[in-house]
Amino acid sequence: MTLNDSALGTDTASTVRPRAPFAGMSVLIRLALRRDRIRLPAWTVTLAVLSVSIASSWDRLYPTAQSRLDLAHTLALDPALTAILGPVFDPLSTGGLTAWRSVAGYLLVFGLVSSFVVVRHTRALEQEGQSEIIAGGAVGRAALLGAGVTIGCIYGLVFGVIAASALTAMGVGLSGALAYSATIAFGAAVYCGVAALAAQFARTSRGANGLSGLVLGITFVLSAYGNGEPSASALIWLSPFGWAEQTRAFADERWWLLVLEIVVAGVLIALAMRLAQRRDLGASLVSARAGRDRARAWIRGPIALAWRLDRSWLLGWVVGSAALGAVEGVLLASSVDTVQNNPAMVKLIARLGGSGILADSFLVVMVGMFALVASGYGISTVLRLRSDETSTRAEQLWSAPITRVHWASGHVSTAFVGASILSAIAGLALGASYGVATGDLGGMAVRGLLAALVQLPATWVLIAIPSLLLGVRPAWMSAGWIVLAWCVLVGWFGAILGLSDWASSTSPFGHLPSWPGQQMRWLPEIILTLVAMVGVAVGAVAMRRRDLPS
Amino acid sequence: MPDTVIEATSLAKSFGSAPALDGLNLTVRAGEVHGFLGPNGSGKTTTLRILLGMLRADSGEARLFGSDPWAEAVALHRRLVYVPGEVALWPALTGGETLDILGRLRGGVDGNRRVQLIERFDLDPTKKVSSYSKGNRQKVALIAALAADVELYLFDEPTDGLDPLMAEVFREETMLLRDAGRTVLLSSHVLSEVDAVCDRVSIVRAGRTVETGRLSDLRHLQRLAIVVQTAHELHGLEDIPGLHDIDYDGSILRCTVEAESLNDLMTHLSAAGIVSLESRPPTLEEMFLRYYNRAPA
Repeated sequence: MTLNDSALGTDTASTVRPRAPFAGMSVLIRLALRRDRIRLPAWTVTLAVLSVSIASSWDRLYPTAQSRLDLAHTLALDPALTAILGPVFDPLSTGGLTAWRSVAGYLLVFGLVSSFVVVRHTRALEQEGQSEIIAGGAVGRAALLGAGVTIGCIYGLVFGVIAASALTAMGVGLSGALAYSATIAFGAAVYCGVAALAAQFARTSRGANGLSGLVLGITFVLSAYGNGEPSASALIWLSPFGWAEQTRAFADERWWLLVLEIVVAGVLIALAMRLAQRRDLGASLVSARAGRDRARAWIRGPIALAWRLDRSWLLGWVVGSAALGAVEGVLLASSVDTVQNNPAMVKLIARLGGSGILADSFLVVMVGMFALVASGYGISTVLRLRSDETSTRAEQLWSAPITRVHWASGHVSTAFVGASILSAIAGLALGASYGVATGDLGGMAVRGLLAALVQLPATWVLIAIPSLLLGVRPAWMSAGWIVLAWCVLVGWFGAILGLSDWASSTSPFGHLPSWPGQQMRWLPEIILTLVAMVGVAVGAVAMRRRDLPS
Repeated sequence: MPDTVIEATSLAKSFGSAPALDGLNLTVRAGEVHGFLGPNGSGKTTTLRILLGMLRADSGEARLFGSDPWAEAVALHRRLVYVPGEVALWPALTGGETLDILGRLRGGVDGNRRVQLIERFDLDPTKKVSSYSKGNRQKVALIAALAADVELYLFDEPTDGLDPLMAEVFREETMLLRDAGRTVLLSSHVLSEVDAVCDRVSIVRAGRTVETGRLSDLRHLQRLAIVVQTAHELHGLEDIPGLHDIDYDGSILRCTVEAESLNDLMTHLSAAGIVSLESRPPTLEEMFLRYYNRAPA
């Protein structure tokens, strides 16, 4: 039986002439659209609506030309914020402010989403084996990758079409709306190309996601550093984030940058196609080395096994966050420097931020960002238990003399401990690099670390959500991502969207004290920690009662 | 050790509105290799999962070594190993690491046995699981199970994905387990395998046990295939009850006959003068097809 299957597969594949590398691609694209029928509209429509909401908030927040000029003036003096969001090119127009506020963030989101989508429809299929069924049909060698890249690009393009139409309908200006939407869509296409290449090099989908995430992170930091540090401004031209910001939507658009994005995306995709057609199905360009023939002695139970499985994934996140933290620390130092040399700004900050030291309030914002990143790591790690249950990995462990709770405690513990380490190291790196720049290494490193620790209880609550659902309703575990997305929305865009205090109180991060800078409050810390503990405990109790999901 | 290792009575289990088990009975005695036969979707895996305490039956009772598999899961699992039908492993680990980890979770690895089995199954333990074929992943799980020193071995379609040579190695290893007095439950739809190694079988269809017993006893209940040549022409074949699939060209008769009608047929044949006679017991395939083609009760 087995012999027949493989013989048939090769036979059919060889009847496809190499001249038809894309044979069957349209069927594969339709299959991918069917698989993503919920994700695709969910991401694109939600984010398009969000950009319209941002655009419609400016008249309320900054109604007069003078107030907008003041804003631009303040921003020009703030390298840390400019680093992340890019410069503001036209503060007077609604479109200009919208582009400034959202282009970098949107490219970050679509860069990640599209590259994960590409991997989901390429390397993931090869890893799980569906690609063999596909390649066994009358399907060309490049068709699978072609379909994956197409669906990845469709995310950005659908968003672009909706956002451009909606913004134009609002009356912000057709050419600006086109440039804004197109530069995000084409920038995302560049990351589709990156993911397509990563899928050729990595053997697992996790590896390919990690590789494309790494490239996204590096290019983001390059443009952030270039934006924040005038002497390094050339760096922005190495990054799609720089290209997207410099397209200057709504401010005398530079259309040629869109061409640059398309060309780079095209080159990356073409390269990936070439590689895909040369290699074996299921193989990767990084050849598999022989590994250990015995497991290390410390791997004795499910918890040790989870650490063995998660350690390289965690290490990647830690290195990435520490690097970002270190860069932010340097930018923070120059930002504080600029502001403190400007009496008007000092007065303004004092009026806005109360008694806190300026550096402290920046610190809180940045460790808050890392706490969200750490929550993402934690959620993704708890979700490994779900994929173990839907494959037979969990069954093999459940049939050993181990309780289910013991089994689940493996990845749940790597999630909680790993996310805490991740947050702490990012805070430490941030504080230390700020400390080096300001001559107080020891003091600032500790301050950064403590600031990161203050954020932990909220991160724990977020990780507790999928842990609770694992016991109560495992099919809903991915809801952890929705909660995280909500926290990001409320935390980053809550003020600009005019969301009420009630909305911000739905995010555990909204209850944290703004320490350092303001009074430390222990009660919310304790309550959030208790909430997380109760969530995990209820999940564990429910875990003991339920069936293996089928 | 109790005489009965597995005792399942009238097990029922539904997923939503779809019934997976509908009154399944299964008895496995200590020291036997028991074949658990049924087509895909007949409830074999669901039964195994109930016996492992991964699912709870809606009704009926399951006993493993006399205990409740749900409540006593951990204690019972010390006495058994299980190989699922579709083996998924951790892609980042090597085969050798996986073997050790699975073994340690079950309480330890016998180093000599491990080396011996790796050699017999011709596995390269230094390769990453992500580069293994389905058959190689299957081998890892089988070696981990066979290396375990336990009382009960549960295999869910274990040779699916193995080449014929490796399937033969597995059969030999199963025989050795039986010789050592271990109990094996072998779920399968590979009939030759069950035929070769099992003492008793239970045949399951649509969540219900349709037959259970020694293979020889089951065959006894079945029809015999006959090819016979007689000196004189045969008449009145239609009058013999229990005679089926008649193909008669005036000289050679081919037919199948139910066991209880054999005597009638032979009397009839000898009256016509038997020139040559060939008979054989039905293959398991034929028995199997007969059960599956029967309309649902």
